Amino acid sequence: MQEPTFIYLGLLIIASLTLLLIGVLVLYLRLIRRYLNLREGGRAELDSQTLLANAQKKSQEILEEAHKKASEIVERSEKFLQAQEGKVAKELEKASKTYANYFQDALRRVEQEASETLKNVPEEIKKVYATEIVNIRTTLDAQLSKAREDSRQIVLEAYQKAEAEVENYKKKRLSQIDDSIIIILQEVARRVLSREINQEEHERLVMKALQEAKREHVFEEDNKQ
Amino acid sequence: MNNNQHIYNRFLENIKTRREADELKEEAVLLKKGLYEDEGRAYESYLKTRVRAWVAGEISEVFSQEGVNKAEFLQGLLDKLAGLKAVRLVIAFEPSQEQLSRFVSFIKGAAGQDTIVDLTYEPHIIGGAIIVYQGKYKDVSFKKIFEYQFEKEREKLLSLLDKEK
Repeated sequence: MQEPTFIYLGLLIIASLTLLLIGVLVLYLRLIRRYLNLREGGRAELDSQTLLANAQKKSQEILEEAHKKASEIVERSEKFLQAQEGKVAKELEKASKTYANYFQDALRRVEQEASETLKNVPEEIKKVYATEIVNIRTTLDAQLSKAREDSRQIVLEAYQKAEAEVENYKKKRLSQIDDSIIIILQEVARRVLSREINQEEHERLVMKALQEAKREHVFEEDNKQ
Repeated sequence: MNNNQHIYNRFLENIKTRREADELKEEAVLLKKGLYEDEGRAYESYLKTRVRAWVAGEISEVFSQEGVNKAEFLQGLLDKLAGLKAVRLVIAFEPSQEQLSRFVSFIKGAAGQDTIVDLTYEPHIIGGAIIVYQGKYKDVSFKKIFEYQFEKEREKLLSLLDKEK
C-alpha cells in the first residue's frame, strides 16, 4: 500500500520541478528580450539630441510668441485703463457735484427751517418764562411771608420761653435766698440761745423732756402698754 | 444665783452709760480669760493692772467668799451686761457727773434697773432732749419747736426783712 503513495509523491515532485523549469525558462526569455530592447535604445540616443534641439527651438518660439501676446494684452489693457480712468474720473466728478448740490440744498432747507423755528422759540420761551417767573415770584413771596411769620413766631416763642425760664429761675433763686435767710436766722438764734441757756436750765429742760416721755409711756415695755 | 443677782445689781448701780457698760464688759472678758492663762496666774495680774479699782474691789470681795465659781460668776456678769436695755438720750450740753446721775436715776426708775443710758451730745438741738427707747422716738428738743416756729413765722420774718430794705 505504501508504494502508490511513494509513486504519487514522486510524480508530484516531478511536476513541481517541471513547472519550475518552465518558469525559469520564461524568465530567461524575458530577460533576453529586455536586453535586446536596451541594446536598440542606445542606437536611438543619437536622435534624441536632435529632438532636444528642435524642442528647445520650438519652445523658444512659443515663449517669444507668448511674450509678444502678453505685451499686446498689457498694452491694450493700459489703454483700456487709461480710457476707463478718464471715464471714472468724469463720473466721480459728476457724482460728487450732484451730491454736493443735493447736500447744499438740504442744508439750505434745514437752515431755513431752523432759523424759522429759532425765530419763533424766543417768543414762546418768553411767554413760558414770563409765566414761570410770575409763578415763581408768587410762590417765593408766599414762602417768604410764611418764613418771616414762622421765624417771628419762633423768636417770640423762644423769647417767651426764655422769659418764663428767667421768671422761674428768679422765683427759685428768691426762694433759695429766703431759705438761706431763714437758715441763717435759725443758726444765729440757735447760737444765741445756746449761749444764753446755762447748765442748770439745760438740766431742767432735759428733766422736763424725760418727764414728758414718761407721761407718754415711752419707757414702758410694749407688752405692758 | 439670787446672791449673785444682788451682787450683779451692785455692779449695775455703778454703770450709767453704754460706754461704762462696754468698759465693764471688756474687764470681765479679760478676767475670765486670765483664769485660763498661765495656770490662772494671769487673772491676778489683770486684776491688779488692767481693771478699774472699784471693779477689782467688788470682784475680789465676791471671790473671797467660799463656794464662788469665778468663771461662772464672770460669765453671769457678762450675760447680765448683755441683757441691759439702753435708752438713747440726745442732749444739747455736756452734763456733769451729778447731772448725769440724776438723769440715769430717773430713767432707771421709769424703765427699770436693767437700763443704761446711751448719751449723745448734740448742740444743734439747742435744749431739751430726744429720747429713743425700744423703737419709740420722742423729740422734746428746742430744735423741733424752734424750726416749727420759724416755719410758722417765715413770711413775717421775710416781710420784716423787706421792710428793713
